[in-house]
Amino acid sequence: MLTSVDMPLEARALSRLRNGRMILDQVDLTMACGQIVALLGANGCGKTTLLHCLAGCLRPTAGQVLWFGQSPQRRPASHRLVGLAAHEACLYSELSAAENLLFAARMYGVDEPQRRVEQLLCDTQLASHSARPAGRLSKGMRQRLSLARALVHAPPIVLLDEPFTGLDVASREWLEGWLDQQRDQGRAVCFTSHDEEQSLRFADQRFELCDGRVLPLPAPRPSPSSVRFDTAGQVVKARSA
Amino acid sequence: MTFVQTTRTWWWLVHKDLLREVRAPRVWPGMLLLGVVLALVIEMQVDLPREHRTSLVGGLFWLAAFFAGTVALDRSFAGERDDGCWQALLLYPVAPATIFLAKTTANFLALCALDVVLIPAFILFSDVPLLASPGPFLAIVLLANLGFSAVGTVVSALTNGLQHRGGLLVLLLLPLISPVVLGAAQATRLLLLGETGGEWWRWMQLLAGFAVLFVAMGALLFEFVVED
Repeated sequence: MLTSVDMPLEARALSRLRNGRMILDQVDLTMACGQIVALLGANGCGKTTLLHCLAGCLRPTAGQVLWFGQSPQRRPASHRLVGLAAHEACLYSELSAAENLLFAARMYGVDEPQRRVEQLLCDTQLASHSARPAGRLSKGMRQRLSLARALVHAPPIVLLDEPFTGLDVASREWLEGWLDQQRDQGRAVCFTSHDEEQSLRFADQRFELCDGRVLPLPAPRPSPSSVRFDTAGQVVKARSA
Repeated sequence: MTFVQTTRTWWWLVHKDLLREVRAPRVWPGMLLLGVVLALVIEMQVDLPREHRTSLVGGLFWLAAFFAGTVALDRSFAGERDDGCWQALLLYPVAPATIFLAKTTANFLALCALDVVLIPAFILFSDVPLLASPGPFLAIVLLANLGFSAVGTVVSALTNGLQHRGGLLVLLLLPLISPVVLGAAQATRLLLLGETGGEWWRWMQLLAGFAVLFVAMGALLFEFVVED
């Protein structure tokens, strides 16, 4: 039986009140390693708010978020466990693609940041654009760079806010493959979307956010994974073939 | 996080701010231009004998420096708001105090750059040798800039997330920096009059006290300031 410490991400009775309106109402959510969770819902239903609460950048009005059984509040070091690719790209438009990643790598204290950045630029097919300012990249390229930034420190928990929005077919296919890759590497991935068909294609678990409550939707596929992380986010058990 | 790691993080944060300003100047040109215009307008209106000018120019210099410097402080977090960068910055495993110190350093450097332009401008327009005693004057400049940038960084962060923030920074900032403006103006006046005795030291102690207080309070309280 999995305990809180084994569970990369757990939300317990999470509530968030804004301007007198209950955006999140007693939300309970758990995610396992090597699992992709899709969070569906109409525009303005609170998907981004929930994601921000899970990422630790928004304090819930009540309830708590646990990363590997620990609360992230007032513990900046624990932020290494989570990577958030927000709806906005979170990139400095004046800095080049490589400089943006290098800055993020340095903030996360990544070992050999230069090498890591080169690897990520290759993974995201941006190596030939590494010197271009982020502000002059196309929407798809910025999206890929934003994902690379969120993953620069190889976090075990990845949160993506509407990652498919505004992407062309080729970029969507690349992103779907990339998400599969993250699952295979044992990461717990949660993404928001309002495209139900898309979530059916590769999500292991699906939830719908409605009136501040999270309702489980039929799971499109089983979610097997034997990958485990320790509380520092290191893989301790590899996925079996 | 060790001291070395914190220092490195602080440096990369400052480096990032300076690099962005060099690549796409958005704060410094406006601030420097306003400083020069203020210096010119103030000096053109002051038609006084030299001895009166000497006792007055210190206060006018600091008024110009603080008003023009407010432009830099007002914009210091605006750049982070673009494209959600501020949110990403708060998600890094970096202590809020380190972010505060880095932002204060970047603002401090902007104010120093402003002084580099304002000092020759005031010397030229007023014909008062502000740098007759360069060491003590430099000490006043450094302490005043440190206090101003520390409290300005906190207030700028506080007003950063507000939708209707126009003018709010100035409203909040001016009462808080009054002791620094007063201390810097008085210390400069006494220095230019050649009175660097006990009274000058008392003003310098006030400036140093406020600089230390504002930096310490900012580092301690920044975590709560940036909370949603």
